[in-house]
Amino acid sequence: MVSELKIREEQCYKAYYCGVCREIGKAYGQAPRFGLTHEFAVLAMVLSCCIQHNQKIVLVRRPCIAHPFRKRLSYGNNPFIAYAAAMNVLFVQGKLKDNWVDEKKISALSAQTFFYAGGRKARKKYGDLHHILQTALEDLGRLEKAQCISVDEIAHPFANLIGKIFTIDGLVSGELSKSLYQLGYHLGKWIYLADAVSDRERDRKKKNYNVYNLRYGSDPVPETEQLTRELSLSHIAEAWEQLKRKANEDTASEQGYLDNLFYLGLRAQEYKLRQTERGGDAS
Amino acid sequence: MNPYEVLGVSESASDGEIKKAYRNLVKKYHPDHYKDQNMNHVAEEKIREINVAYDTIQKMRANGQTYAEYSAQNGNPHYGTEFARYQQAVEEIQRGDLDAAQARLLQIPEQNRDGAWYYLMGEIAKRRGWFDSAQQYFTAAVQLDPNNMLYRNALQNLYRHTQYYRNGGAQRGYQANTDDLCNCCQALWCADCCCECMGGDFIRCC
Repeated sequence: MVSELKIREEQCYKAYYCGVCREIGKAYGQAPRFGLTHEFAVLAMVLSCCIQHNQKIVLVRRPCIAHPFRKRLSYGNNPFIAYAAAMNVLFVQGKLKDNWVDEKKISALSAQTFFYAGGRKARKKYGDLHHILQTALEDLGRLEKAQCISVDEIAHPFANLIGKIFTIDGLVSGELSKSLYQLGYHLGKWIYLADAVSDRERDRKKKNYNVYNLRYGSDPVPETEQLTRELSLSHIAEAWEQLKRKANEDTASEQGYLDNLFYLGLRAQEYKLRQTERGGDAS
Repeated sequence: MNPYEVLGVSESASDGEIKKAYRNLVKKYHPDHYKDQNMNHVAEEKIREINVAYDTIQKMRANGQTYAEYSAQNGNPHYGTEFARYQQAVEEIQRGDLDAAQARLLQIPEQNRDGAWYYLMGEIAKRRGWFDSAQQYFTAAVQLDPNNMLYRNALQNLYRHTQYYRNGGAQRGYQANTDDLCNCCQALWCADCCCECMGGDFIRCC
């Protein structure tokens, strides 16, 4: 049931992923390319589906740094791929800085120096979003320090940040911006909470902050809590359906991939989380 | 608040005038006039306020007291509602100005926070996507006012949105696992409904 992706949809996703990676290399240097995550390729896909633009997107076939001997398809000249690349660079840098401040990880500090130059460029271009990212990290730190016990409150900074990133911080407006924000907000919220659930064991051992551990100790998370996570998934789906109604032409593959991700990929993840919760998390 | 002011009459008004003012207000705020369920609910609160005011005036006049004498003896009549603030908050919620509505509700002192307060806070949380908080507020509203169907429905409908996700997936041929995603919770809820019919209730909140 889980791996039900059409070949063209998978190819389409890979071309986005490679496109973002290539763009990072081109605009921000080689080092940040290794920080690329799946989410930012998804960001580029969603925006390419929903926001109208008049650039001619080209599909190119080239070898790349990670696969020097096999040519890969990738999209070029797509403004949203460029945007996702910048966001990825900002994000990774913010995260590394946070890791260094929080946990004094030497690896984070040294990685930061590699990322620095590229990060500065991205910060210059997207100063407002950088500011939002900083505020989100600060808010998160403050709430963790205060031992926040509300699931909604602790997930809000990250969710809000992702929501703002999906609306390109107010560049899109009207109904479209509302749906994009809803999609981003609940995606961010779900990701934060899903991480919190799967990290419970580790956080308990390391005595790190974890909202679920604070609330329920070592007991499994009750059913209602899982329903609130599912409500977030449901609002992702709702926003996505609204966006699809006005999607650009020629984006069937993108839509197919995202359908699969939102309805099936996230559901499978959620299901897995519940299984582990049921299977005696208390150990 | 002076009960004469609630009815919009002067202290020297005759019994007939007071009765007339009372009837007019009851007609004006009859909950059936309001299609929106939030406004409808607020109108109910207003009617309660009008009734308390009218009863208080009757009591004062029977004892031959003025309002000053009455309030010196009994304190202000307790209307049990913050009608004006609720009404403004509802309007703000409808406009989508959630921050303003929340700030307004938080001005209401803790001892005056009744079912309506928790319900409206829940409504704000729900619209923000803060479902866990919404669930807590709605539960509190139901506990404070167990007979209010609006609060009960709000609590039950909160999770109904998950159907959107389940149906959306199913339409795409992604079969829901039967064991998946909280069937047990639904079963529990059904069982509770049956129990309530028979007079019992093992989940207090719904």
